[in-house]
Amino acid sequence: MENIGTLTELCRALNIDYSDMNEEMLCFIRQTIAGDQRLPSDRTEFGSLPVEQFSHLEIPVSEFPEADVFQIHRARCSRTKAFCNGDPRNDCIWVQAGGEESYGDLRGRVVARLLALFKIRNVLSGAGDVHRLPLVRILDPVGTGKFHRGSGHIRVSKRPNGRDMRIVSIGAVIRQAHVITSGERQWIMNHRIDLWMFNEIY
Amino acid sequence: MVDCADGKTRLCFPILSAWIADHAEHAALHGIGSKSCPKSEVPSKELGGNPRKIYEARDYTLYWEKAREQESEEAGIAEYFQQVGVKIGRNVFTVLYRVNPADLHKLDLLHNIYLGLFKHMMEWVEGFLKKHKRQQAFDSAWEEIPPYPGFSVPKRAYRKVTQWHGKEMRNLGRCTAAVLVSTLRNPDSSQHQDFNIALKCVGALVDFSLMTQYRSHTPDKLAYMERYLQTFHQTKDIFLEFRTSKSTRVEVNSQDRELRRLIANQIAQEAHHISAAQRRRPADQNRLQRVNRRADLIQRENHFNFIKMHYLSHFVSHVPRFGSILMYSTKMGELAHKAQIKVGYRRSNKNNAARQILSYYGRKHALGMRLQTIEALSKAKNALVMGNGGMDAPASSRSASW
Repeated sequence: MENIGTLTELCRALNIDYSDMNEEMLCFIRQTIAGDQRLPSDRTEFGSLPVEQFSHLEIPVSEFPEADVFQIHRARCSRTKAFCNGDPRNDCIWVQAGGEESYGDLRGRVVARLLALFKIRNVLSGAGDVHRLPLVRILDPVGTGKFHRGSGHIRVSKRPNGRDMRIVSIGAVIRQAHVITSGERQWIMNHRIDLWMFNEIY
Repeated sequence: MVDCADGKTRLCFPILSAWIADHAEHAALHGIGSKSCPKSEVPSKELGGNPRKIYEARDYTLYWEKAREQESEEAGIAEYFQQVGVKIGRNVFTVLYRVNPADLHKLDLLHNIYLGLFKHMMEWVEGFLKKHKRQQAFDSAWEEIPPYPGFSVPKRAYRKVTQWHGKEMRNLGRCTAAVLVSTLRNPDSSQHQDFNIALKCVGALVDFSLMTQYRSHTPDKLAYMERYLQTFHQTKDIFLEFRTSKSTRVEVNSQDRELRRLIANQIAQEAHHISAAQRRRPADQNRLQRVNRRADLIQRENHFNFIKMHYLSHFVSHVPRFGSILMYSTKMGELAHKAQIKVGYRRSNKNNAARQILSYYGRKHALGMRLQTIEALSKAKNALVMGNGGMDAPASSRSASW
């Protein structure tokens, strides 16, 4: 991964608007608990913090049915660069975005595609805390997240308009997701890919 | 005499409780026909029928008694054996102490589901896609399956794969339903219902197979399994037209030829009396009649009566009696073929290979055991040395500090 200095440079590398990134950062900072480790909420302050990109996220996930046995899911994000001499690889992940009652059968979880993985160092704080953050594009469940009666699957799609980018806490990333392309802007969420997923979403 | 875990040696009488093998081996061992179930007396014409229907359990002791009666030339026993699908009255398990041969058969995920039903299912799906001209779309979707931990991504289009292994079939089960949904999108009004039924059928079988992989089952899970199985049986007829066997195809073709010959003769006799335009209309009608008759015959002859379809009905009742289905899979045994047989054969001079395979594996196994023993002993020795060092350590540290 190329060395990125600040958020402005990250936005340039990702080809996204800096004001959008600012909004997302502010939104994320407001959601975090106030304290010493919280990033500064002033735009100029967090805009000047050093930023570094990374290419994969290791997510410890419990192995079904044991809750205390873990395996590692490595979610890759190569952005526009080739992955292993092939196509670019930007994996989909599950993000806990709400309570059990939201998003229908998904029970508060949403599928999101990784846009970037970066860490931001809060040099302004005494401890110099490092925050590892995934920038994702949220894929909205079609039909409020209920299983389609005909096909027995849940579809997810890109938002036709409005903000779909989001910076999420690394703790909200549950595991990697498996989606199958279905047309230009839609994907089928494959809940049968492993036993954990099958047991959770049915 | 058996060495027990508590260090004592006991006189034990092991009881055979399971025989993990494929159906063909079970059929030979139980002395039953290849289309018979080792557990129940299900007629071969009802193998693909209602899974809730209860058939009488096999009583191999009764068969033995009947076989002994047959020796004293009792009439009608051969007919009875044929009716219940038994070939030999006394099988190898009959005289074993406290063994019920019907319980020795255990359900096998590898041969029954992955290499059995999934393989059949994909043949039906292929036929279905061909009928609806969606094969290309399926191949494209298949090639675009994204990676996932523990899932090997297919490298080639589905139709280009010539041989499937058990693991690949298991992987196929994990993604085939989603790929099929993607393939069968945007149906026209005539296809809509058929597509939905096909998706429901494939989804139910995949769900059932996933639930059989659980290590433990609650009553709710068993109820789900039963429901999935019921849904599969209710919807499987959508694929019936793709279940044409070779013999049915030959019979249908011969009947079609015969009918065509009869019609041709009839037309030849009437040709002198009617004009060409008058001849054309009956020809169209005859063609339609032939097509319909062919379809009727295929529909009538096709069936799902094969043993692996029937085995599905035993899965739910198996769990409360014998525990998880996963632990009886032949997967481990098949995997051992590589180390125990294939490697040995490759190392042999291919001349009288069986003896060389056995001696190679025996030697390798013994060496492995020896290495493990040395490793364990060296660890124990190190621990002992470290223990002594620990005793000396305070003295040396004292001397250093001085």
